[in-house]
Amino acid sequence: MDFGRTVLSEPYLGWLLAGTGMTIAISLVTSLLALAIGSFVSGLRTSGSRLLRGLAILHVQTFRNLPPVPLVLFLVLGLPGAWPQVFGHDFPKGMELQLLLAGLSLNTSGYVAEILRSGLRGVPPSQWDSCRALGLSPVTTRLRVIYPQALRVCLPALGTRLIHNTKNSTIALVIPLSSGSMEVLGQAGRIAGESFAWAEPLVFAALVHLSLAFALSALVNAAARRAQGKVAVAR
Amino acid sequence: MTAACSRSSSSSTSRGPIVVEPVLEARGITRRYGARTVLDGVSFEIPAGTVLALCGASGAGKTTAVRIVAGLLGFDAGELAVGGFRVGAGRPYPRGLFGRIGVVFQEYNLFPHQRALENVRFALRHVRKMERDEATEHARAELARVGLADEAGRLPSELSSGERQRVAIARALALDPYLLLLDEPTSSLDPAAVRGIERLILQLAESGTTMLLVSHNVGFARRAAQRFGLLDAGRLEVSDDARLLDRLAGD
Amino acid sequence: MSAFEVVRRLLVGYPVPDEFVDPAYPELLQRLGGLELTLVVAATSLLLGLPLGALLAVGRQGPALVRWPAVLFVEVVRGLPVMLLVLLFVHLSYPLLGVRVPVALLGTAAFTLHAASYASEIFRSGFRAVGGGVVDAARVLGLSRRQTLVHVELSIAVRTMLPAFLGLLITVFKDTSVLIVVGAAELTCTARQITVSQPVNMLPVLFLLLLMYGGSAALASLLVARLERRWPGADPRNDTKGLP
Repeated sequence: MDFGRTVLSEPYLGWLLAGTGMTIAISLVTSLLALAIGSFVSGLRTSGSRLLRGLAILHVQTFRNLPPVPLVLFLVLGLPGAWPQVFGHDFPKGMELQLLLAGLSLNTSGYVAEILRSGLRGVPPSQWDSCRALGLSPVTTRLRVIYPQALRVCLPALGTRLIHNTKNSTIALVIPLSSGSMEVLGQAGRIAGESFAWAEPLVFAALVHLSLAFALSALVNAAARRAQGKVAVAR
Repeated sequence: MTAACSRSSSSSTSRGPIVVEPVLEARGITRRYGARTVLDGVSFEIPAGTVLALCGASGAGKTTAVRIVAGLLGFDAGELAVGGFRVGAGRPYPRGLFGRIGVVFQEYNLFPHQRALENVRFALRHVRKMERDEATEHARAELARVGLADEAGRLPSELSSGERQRVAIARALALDPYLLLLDEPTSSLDPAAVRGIERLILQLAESGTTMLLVSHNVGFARRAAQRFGLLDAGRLEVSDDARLLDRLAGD
Repeated sequence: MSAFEVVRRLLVGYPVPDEFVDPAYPELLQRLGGLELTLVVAATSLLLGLPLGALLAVGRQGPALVRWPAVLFVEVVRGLPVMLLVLLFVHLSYPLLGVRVPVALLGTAAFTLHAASYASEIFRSGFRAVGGGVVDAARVLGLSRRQTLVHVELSIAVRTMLPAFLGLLITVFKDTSVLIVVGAAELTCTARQITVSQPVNMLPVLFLLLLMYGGSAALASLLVARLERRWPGADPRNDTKGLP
């Protein structure tokens, strides 16, 4: 194994570091989007409208059951082809990265919605009653009392899913991306394309992912431990 | 059902001293953990139909004593005699003695995957090799005795803490044991259930069940037992006088 | 391309040209495609991965010499994306072994390790579900060691682990879609080939894909629900109704 030639020398090291940054960026953006979409969808689950509830269930079922690879493939490779038939004009070019982000976010959001929903169910019904008895507004009840408790319940599961989301960034490999947008595994492939050495760049990518996974794990555990200290309202 | 437990040697009806073998006799039980001596020459006896309450501060060795009597732990010196079986120091617990002492644990330890009836019935079928119908009837009767006739089909996860402990007691009694060993039976219960279990234990005591009750609740121990043992740093002092327990600071 | 054709292709893939078949390896394996290949890879990975996972779980209970490698192995494999694992297998196999191995086999090997690392965690949770107190209770009731093992320990462990294993099966089944990057003609790859080779609307194919992946998940959920009805009360830590 020759790390000097393939990993630790320029320009390859620069590529790998750029790729690492991209991995982190993709993970961050998709995690935030997934949380946003997931919260919205799980909110729909409790709506009065049957249509909205049904849409929420449809969202969850679709994106949990459809693996991210086919989803991303069809968004990036299939959508631009089908777009003109539906909307008349051409699909904008160069949107591969954005479509990847959309695909990954949607996939994770399905899981997030379910996790948040079970977190909500984990809050004892008596909490809702106590808040009403105290005269708290529905917004205050949710924001200050219910949601923090729900979050405490589902934090570990949420953390695990977001770590999985980080690992999903490697799915970028299934679509053609410009070398500037490649995450770390893609950059490894790029190096291998030039130097014919796969092993060392792969090991670098592996170390990046392991570090990210461990760091995120530690973060989630610390957050979960802190969250245990919070006390529920009334009894 | 508890014929074996309540041997009819009740002193109130005897016409003279009757020498009867105690159900349990412990002589000089010593147990060490490395340099620490957890039990030091512990001796006591439990006559049939009586209740001995073992009290002491935490760490005094109560749990060790219970585990030794139950056969879950060995001991380094002394001798234990239960219902005709002899247990020597460093010797294995006699196989026949397992299932002859009813143990009620602090955390109930019910089989979570079995319903209440099955929990009570299981040993009857698989250890005593009773026929299914006979075992079922026996188990139902025991559950009825602890007041859970209607809960026979429930899983432990569907029962309140008090109900779980009742099932545990029924399970222990179903085997018609020489004596009932209760290790902090109310410590894991929520306060409302404590009184119910205490009442049940008092009922059992009144009906002549031989018991070894380990409890940090001195008040309850006083009501339930006729003889009292105070464990302090491995040493046991036994007395018929409940005032022995006054030495325990606080409750 | 008729709907029937599309479904058929998704199920068995496209025919493999003879030049691509390596006589050193089973021909049948190399001609698999589509859903068939996905199922074979997933099933084989689990069949091999579960025993390996059990070994790892047991290893974690053992002496430090066995425990540390087991822990390291599991944590590393779990921390890596499946895609990376597959690529490692594919690109390191020739340098390390000196022979060219069909991609389907390498993919299966990678997924076996992947499944094993998750399986070891499931086995450990099964061990944990059997609290020591219950074994004590069994012993003082007079149950023999064998009776305790079978009727109490294994019973509780299996009921805890089975739903989790079904979940793992579904996860592995869905994750096989990453094999497209190494050229394995599994379900997703075949779907892609269909939409490229024929001007077929992507939406119906996507829908069928969703059905196939989702159908298995739905089946597993049904099975889990039936199991939980037959074997309730598996995990004592799932208590929410009874007060402690």
